Amino acid sequence: MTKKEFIQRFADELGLNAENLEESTPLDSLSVWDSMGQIATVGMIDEALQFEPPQGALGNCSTLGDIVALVSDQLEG
Amino acid sequence: MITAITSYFPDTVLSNQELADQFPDWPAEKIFEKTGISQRFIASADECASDLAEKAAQKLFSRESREEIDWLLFCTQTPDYILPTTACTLQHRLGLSSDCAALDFNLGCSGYIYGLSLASALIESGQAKRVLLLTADTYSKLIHHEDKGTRTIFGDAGTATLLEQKAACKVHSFVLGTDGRGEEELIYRNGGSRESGSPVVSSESALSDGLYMNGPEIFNFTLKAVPTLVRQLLQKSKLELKDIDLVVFHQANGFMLEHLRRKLKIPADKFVLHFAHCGNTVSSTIPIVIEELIQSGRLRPGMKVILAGFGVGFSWGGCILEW
Repeated sequence: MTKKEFIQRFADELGLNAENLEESTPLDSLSVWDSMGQIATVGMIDEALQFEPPQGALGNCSTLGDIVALVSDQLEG
Repeated sequence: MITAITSYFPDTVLSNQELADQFPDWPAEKIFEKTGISQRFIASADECASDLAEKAAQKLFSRESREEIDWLLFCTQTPDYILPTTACTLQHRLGLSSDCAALDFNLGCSGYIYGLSLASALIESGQAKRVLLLTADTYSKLIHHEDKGTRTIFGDAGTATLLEQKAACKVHSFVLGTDGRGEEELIYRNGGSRESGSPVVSSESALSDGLYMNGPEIFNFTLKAVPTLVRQLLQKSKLELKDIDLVVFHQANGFMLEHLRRKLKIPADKFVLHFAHCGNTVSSTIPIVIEELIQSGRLRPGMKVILAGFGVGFSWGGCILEW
């Protein structure tokens, strides 16, 4: 999965338009970035990349780019 | 080993519609879609976990004798008092012999498996003949009224399980584990010795005084712990997944359970879900499911069942139930 595909999958999971997302997008600016949205993201990362982030890592992410960086080793290219 | 299981729910129901009325951005249909829960039961102001456990046990004693019960184990995280041990008061209230040993143990979603492990060890070692294992919690008393997510998930309940050497079914191949690094992820800080504050939440309490649950981190923990637990269980019991008739996980919520089912490639017809009517009842979820399997006739002699509990602590445990 490429970075672009990952961002598309993230957007699909949360019901967002990927075209409106930048790596600099603050997660707090997304109304769907609540507990349920974060749980859905954990599930998506596990399903798409077979990767479980270290404890506390997702909570430390403040932008979409932080999430991309968290899973970067699992992405192509 | 297991002779009988009963459960008890409080009278008050908190429906999805009532939550939706309080939180307009959380419609009833969305609550069910996201969690698989349609309602949960809530203990009344003067109703404690011991009352729920007592009522579950009295139901059990309507068809099983209370004579010669020589051990009472009570799993709760919401005891009546810090001391005395709630199991001691239950021994008296249930009219059990004074020769009966009684103790509480404080575990949440893994608690029933730990209780089965303790009870079976006591029986197999000859220290006990008949063990009454009770589970009950009133998490509703710890959850802030404004915490829509946590109020949605948890419900109150109590269960009673009678274990005897003479019973035909067996529990075996226990796998237990702990990772205390998860202590902050599901925590109620007040009421113990480390922090001041009320042991229950009131309308005057701050939101931060209520039960704190970091849902994403708990989910992340289960993704690591549960597949390993199931693999270890199968290895220890020398069974393969195809040998297993039913899988009963702690009934946390629908999203988590369905994800785990797909991840572990467990066929849907083997994977038991029974929580829509009561929500996540902590250590009571697994016995509530087994009671339903018995009553519906779905659990038949000779069946092999994986039981697995996981959550607060972090703590986890699993075993094989051979009915």
